[in-house]
Amino acid sequence: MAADLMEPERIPLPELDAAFAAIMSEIVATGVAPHYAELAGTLGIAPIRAKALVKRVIDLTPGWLHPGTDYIASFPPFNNQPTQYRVSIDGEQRWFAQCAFEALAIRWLVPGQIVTVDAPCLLGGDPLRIVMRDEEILSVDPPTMVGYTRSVVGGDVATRPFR
Amino acid sequence: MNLFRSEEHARDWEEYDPAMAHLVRPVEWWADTFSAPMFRERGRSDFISWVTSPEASGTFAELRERMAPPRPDVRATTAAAIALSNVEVSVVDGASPDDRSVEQQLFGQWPAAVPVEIARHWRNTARAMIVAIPAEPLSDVDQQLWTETRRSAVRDIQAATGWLARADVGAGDVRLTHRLAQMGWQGQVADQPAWTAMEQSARAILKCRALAEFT
Repeated sequence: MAADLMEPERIPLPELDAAFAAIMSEIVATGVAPHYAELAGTLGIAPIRAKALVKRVIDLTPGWLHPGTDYIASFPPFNNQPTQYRVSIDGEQRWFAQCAFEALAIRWLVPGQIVTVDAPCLLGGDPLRIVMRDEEILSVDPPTMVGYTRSVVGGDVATRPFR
Repeated sequence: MNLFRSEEHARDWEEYDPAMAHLVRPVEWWADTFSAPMFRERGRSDFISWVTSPEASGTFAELRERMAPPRPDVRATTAAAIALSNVEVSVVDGASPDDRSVEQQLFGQWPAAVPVEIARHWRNTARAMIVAIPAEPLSDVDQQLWTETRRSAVRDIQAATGWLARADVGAGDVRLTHRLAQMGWQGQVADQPAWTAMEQSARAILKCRALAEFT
């Protein structure tokens, strides 16, 4: 493969589209993002190419790799690394959301299905639950629940999900 | 974003920042916010092509605008304007081929109307940007109003990008074609005297390994 085609900014968009769609499809189906070597099999390409695609896709989206590794840690709206935002789809808890923001966006990837987000309050640990389906917020328990971030959207990646 | 049992719980959180108080919001508000195209479109087969398009850049700018702090009144007091200007360093990318359009944006719709080419590169490309706002108005407008608007623009830029912004790097001209992606100089310096100070500032920023070093 020509060296210049491995340069991140030279990777054709259709390849990145395919990689993104494959990763998203896998994580929606299983709750786990594929390793680049697994993605290679899915896309029928060499692992080294899949690795380059993963890195570029991550660069272009608000996800991240675990520092110092090639492992996808976050692939919004989902998180490969468990978080306190446990997500159930039609009653099955298999997914984690990157943050509470993104938890609210998971419904767009599973049309017609009921998405339940369970998380503890960061102050007192009280259980919180949000139930959604498509355009509807079916329940917010307790109804006094609020969301808050101290980070500016699109800010420093290192602090984005935690604040 | 994190969830709290109530607004009081959020405000009592040890990491609560009063400067971001405007983002204590009901879940329904956040659910509406995360109904933006940026989130709805993730299931499409050409998502990366879409998300790197001008259309997506526009939707992201709208999202930033929705989450931005309340815009200060441009007729704010001078004291308030000065307080807002206590921002040291900068970020920048700027790009507008038309001085007048930038001027209009500063007065009207900033940052929602930030030029598409700026918004497009905000997140994914540029690590450093310079937004240079002239010290003097480009047309016959009240000097104090202009000054206060510059201050407001700095704050809005900071809120929208998460970067620090500086308003006084340039004087006399806002024509920006600099793009300092990857902390490298890739821009063309316009052929006019006003660029000298601006370019020097930009190069000084580039020499800094940490924004905090630039004061």
